Amino acid sequence: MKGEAVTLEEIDKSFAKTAVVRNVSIAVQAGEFLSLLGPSGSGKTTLLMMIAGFETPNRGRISVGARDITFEAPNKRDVGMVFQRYALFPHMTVAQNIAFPLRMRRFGKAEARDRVDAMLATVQLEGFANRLPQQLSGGQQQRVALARALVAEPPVLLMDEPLSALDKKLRETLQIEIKRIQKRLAVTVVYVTHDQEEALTMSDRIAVMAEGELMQIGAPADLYHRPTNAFVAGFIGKMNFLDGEYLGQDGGEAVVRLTQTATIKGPVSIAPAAVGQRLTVAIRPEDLNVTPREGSSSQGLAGTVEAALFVGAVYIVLVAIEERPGKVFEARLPAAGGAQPFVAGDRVNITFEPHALRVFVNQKRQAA
Amino acid sequence: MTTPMRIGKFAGRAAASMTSSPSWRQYPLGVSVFLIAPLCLLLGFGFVYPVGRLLGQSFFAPEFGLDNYRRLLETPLYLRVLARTVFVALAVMSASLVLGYPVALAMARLRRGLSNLVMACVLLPLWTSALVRSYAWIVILQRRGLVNDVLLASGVISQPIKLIYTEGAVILAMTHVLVPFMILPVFGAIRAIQPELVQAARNLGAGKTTVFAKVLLPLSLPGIFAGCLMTFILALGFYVTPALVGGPSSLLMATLIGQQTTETLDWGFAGALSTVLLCVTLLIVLLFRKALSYNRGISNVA
Repeated sequence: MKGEAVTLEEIDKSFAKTAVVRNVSIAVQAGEFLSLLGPSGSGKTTLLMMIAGFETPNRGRISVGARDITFEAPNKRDVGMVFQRYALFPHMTVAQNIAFPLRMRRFGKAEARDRVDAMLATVQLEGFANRLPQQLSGGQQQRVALARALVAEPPVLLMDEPLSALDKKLRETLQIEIKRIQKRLAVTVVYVTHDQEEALTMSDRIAVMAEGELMQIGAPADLYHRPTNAFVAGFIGKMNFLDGEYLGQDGGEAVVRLTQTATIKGPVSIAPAAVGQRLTVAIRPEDLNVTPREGSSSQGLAGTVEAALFVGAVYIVLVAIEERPGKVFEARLPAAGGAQPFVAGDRVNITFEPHALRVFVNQKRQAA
Repeated sequence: MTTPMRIGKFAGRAAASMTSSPSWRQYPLGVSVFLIAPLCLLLGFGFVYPVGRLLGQSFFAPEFGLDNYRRLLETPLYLRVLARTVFVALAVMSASLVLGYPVALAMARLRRGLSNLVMACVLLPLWTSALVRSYAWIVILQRRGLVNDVLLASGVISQPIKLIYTEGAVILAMTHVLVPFMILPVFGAIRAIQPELVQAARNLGAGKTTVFAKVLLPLSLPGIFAGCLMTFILALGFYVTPALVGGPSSLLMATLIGQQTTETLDWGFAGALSTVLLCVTLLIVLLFRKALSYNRGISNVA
């Protein structure tokens, strides 16, 4: 089996005049693990359903390899699929479930049995061949579903939130297992999830969707370190946001006012065109420095510690920004030495390197 | 095919674990007795006692012995009526299945609004008395009825043909009355099938017919069994419709029992007929249950 490329070109889809997918183009490479990540209602599942053939796009083209499958019947697409609720046939045993796609393709009995056995070994369910799906745990059922989707060696595997019904521990085990099987079989995977951690750990690339549009596509580290819009910045990892105003250039640097008293300077590349432009400044919790504030000495943003939480490797310090009532920044400080760095009520300054800042102009959407 | 066996075993285990559920889920014994007492009393006085009396009389009237049963078994006419009753019930059951299954399938796959409309159409006849519906068939099938008029006018036949008071008319009218009892359980069974199963089957390479044969049909078997059992048993004891649209040549058990009690006043023989009909019904229920127990989750309907 060899993975094949999946190409989505300018896909539009609407249900009863509500646009759920808007002009989405994605080129999934052969053998790639691509996640469609987004909140519910972002159109990611609809996109998957269109690749599987259960929905038809209003506009655009879907192809697998060189085959145009936009209007192909679902059973002719040769695209495997794993469903959120397993969708195993309750009246068939595990072995009969896995053999189903082989029977549809008229495989010989002996070869079908060999393939089913090999697949059972791959998903580590030897000895479960004659059980019924209801007699298995959720994790085992999903492994059977995976085996069934892969046994006919489709070049593409679609997965629709396959782990969301499982508990955290099992989810992590299966994430690793799915990744291992995908690498071994070199199958192209399109994986729908709303769990950004899952997408970050498993994917070669992630396509972030919101309200039917593709917000950004890139490698996990790319999305984390170089988000191109406030939505992606907020959706991938934890991010602190603050509104600001562009004041113009000063000595080759762009100046942004954050509060009445605090301004920052940064590279001109972050600057918008017009002076006076409102913008959103974003910074990661691990890029913040928190220092005690004595007397009236003020640098960076002045704040008061609301809580300091020990979470193992780091302290999470929540700081209320004094000049922005209601605004709380989250900082992650290394827990070196183990001493509690701050207690609630401490008066602190928040500082950061200008290059750690990201500035977004005129964003209509922003994730929490 | 060992699959049904396994399903049966599993259903048994699931049922066992359900009955051993924690006690806070169950009412105290006193409350349970209080809740079911009115129905038990009604059934006791209105059903068990009179039926028991009737069955008892089959051994005691006019005198103690098995004379009534001997008469039944030694008279070919009565055995023919019994055989005909079973045959008509089977025919009604089959016709209901053939006519009802597609309706149930369509209903389960329709949009909600349309599905409700079809459901109303299915249920509407149930709100009308069986008497009215049977008379309607007389209007349609009689010598100068709708069907004969149309056939005569169009020149297909030159003489009115005998439609009413035949076995065919009985089967037709009874199917009309009983088909909702097939549609409802089948609809329920199909409705309970996860839509993803159909998608999964399609995704794995099955065409539409194969999806029906390999997924929808096997998974709707519980509904089919329940519907067949209900229509069959109701048809076995049906009185009004066969009495109205059936003639002497299509006499059924229920009508025969009616004649014995109201016309010949031979309560002993009526009791013997009732006992035999009851035994045949119970036997068939047991056979159904046996078949049902191989399918999960349906043993509770029989």
